[in-house]
Amino acid sequence: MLPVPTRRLALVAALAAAVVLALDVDRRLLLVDGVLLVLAAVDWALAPRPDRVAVERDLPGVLALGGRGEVVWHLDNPLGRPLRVALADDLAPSLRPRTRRIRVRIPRRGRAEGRTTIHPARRGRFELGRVTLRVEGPLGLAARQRRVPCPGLLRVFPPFRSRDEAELRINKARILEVGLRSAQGRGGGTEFDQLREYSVDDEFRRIDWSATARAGRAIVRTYRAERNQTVLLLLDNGRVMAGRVDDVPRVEHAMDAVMMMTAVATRLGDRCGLVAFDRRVQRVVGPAQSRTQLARVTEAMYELEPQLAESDYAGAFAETLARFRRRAMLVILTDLVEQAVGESLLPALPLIVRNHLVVVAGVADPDVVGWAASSPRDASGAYRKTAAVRALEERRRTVARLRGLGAHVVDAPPGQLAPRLADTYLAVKATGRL
Amino acid sequence: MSAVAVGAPASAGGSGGRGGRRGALLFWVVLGVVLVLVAVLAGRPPADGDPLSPAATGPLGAKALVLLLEDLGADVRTTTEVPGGDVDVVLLLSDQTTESQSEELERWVRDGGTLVVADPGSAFAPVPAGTTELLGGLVQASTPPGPCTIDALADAGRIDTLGGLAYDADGAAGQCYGDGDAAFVVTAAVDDGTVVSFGGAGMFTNEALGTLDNAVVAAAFLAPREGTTVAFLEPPVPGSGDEGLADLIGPGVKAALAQLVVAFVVYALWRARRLGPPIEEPQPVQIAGSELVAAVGELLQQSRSPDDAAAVLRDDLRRTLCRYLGLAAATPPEVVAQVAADRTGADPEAVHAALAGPPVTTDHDLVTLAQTHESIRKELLHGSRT
Repeated sequence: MLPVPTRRLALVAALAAAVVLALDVDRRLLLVDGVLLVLAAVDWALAPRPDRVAVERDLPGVLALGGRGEVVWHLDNPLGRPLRVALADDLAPSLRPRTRRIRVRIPRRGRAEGRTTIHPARRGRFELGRVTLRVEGPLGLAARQRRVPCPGLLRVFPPFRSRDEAELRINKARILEVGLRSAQGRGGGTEFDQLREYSVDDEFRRIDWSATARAGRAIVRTYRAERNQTVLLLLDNGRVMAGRVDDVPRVEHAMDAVMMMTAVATRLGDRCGLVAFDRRVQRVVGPAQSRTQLARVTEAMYELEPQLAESDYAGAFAETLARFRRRAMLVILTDLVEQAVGESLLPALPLIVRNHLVVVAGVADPDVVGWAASSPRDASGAYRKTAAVRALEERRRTVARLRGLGAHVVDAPPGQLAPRLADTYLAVKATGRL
Repeated sequence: MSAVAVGAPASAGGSGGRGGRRGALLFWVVLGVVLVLVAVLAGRPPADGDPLSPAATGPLGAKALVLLLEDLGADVRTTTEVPGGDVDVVLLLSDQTTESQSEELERWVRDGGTLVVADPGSAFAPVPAGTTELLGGLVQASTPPGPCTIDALADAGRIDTLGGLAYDADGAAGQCYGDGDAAFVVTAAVDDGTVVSFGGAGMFTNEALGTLDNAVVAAAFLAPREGTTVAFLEPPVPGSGDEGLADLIGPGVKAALAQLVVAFVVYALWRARRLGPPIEEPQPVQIAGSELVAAVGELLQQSRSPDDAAAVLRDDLRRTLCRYLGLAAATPPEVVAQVAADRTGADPEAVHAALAGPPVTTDHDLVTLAQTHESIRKELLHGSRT
């Protein structure tokens, strides 16, 4: 363990220049520096080994991407004299810690703590292994440094940006179910719920004449949306999802939609599951209706990073059909780029569209839309507008081909994908198409 | 027109700003050139040489003295080093010798040389007298020899001592041009040699040498006989010598500076030992989703086919108008233009030209077409004119 000089030693050495200037003896430099060297060596010898200092780290455990958390280090000094200790933690740069180094003075046989805040810029699993400790000697002229184990785990989950939109839709759907609003429109559902007395907002066609005759007053039949239906979310994690839209990869927008769909579907009594795939199926969460399903789905997704490879839609569909045979609403979250859809998705779509209700959803790029609608000032702008117009036209053709095969398509800008997809789901349920 | 009207002042303002910056830059350049010229001209040595220089021909130079001595048969040399034994007389008009040179010169005098010193501040000159009243308070244009005990000056008359000092004559081997207690010229015997001290060098200058008996007195000491070797001892050329700046620093300061270097090394060692290793982290892919579209746009531009690009834009506008006007997707442009004109009041010629005009051959035409399309789109679809 090599000795580490300290800033104090450098300062003392600088101040010793005045002593050297004042001394009028031969070899004064050797004399002064010799004394300093001896003092530093003694100090280093008296400095305790870093592994005698006990270190613990408090981590938030789970954080949502974009959220803030606090990391606290606790240091225990078992010795009978105070210690000056510097600590550096192996916090990843993408956690954006305010600092990852602290200096503390631990009282004798006491405890000290240091803390910092983190603000993750990337989701995923962060395993923290060791911390570096530097313990100074009693004079503060030299120190010992060593890395000591201090395991910890931090999981950064994708943010649920559309949480408010999800709550709004859940509440709206429940209001429709209990008949507090007019039964006219598409909110009534198709499954019989109950009989109740007629009110002025009810449709005449919902009057149950037999019950009305028995009761002697107008009675209507109320319906609710079918429950315990299955929604399977197929999350494409291939190369087309790596491109950044609105400053985040496409897959992040898709994950937001997955979370919203899971929240809405499970809260409305349906079973929701997830299949994440690229060249092969990466994660599977079986359909369930429990309240913990959103947490399960989120945990299954948080480590996913888009793979720079072509996604195998046919393989993913085949495995999904093999695992889950019941009719379901299959939501494929991908990009609607013509080449990928035309070469991979469209040939595989007949596998699932016959027995399932298929929805294909993708996030539109506002940059491309903006270029297509721009009024260019120079030649490069004009050609870029042309390329954007062509790309949007190809996208429209792709959407048309998907619809031609019987799929529903949601093509929405960032921030709108999840709500629009949830609206589609609610519309499907309201019309009993699932 | 409004765009031009708005743009013109901005353009003029921008030009004015650039002009202002250019003017300020020009001012500083001119000022710099002037300062350099002044420094060069002011710092240039005088054309007629430095004062008391044996090569200087100006009023304050000593060239006339050299010529006089040479005319009298003397061998005159100019040197910055203390001469050897082959020199009879050394003339020191302005003593700027170093300590070692002074010691060497003193040894030369003791060995039998004659040193003529005309600098009252020299270590070789005697102490100036406490009073100079008898010499007219230093300022006496014509000083008589007075009680003169120097044989060489026995026949000399009045000299011009303007600006000189009188030395204390007490203890001098000889004195002249004084009152017995103080004198302008004193001699002192130093072992085998002689030091002749003049109260000032003014009488040896070009302008004063011909005045009164100044030349006689100078010749009496510097060229007493034909063949005398005279050396003008000049200060060394600035920058010459063996000593450097480091020789001027005391050993204590040097040791203190070395200690500061040691302190810096310790500081560097402290900084070099990193607290904790760098953290490696795989970086996610950072590709804009629109990257492909931008790249396609650049390829289209490089292919230099604006008409193909125009066809894409025209087809897009036609399809947009067809959707908006409720027409079939394959409706020809002239029909679309006419229907648009009928329903919105737009100019059918302009709409038709935008949908199916002449081929676009240049990038500029393509830009104009794209701008026209956006104008039509806004006018027809959103009801706003640009």
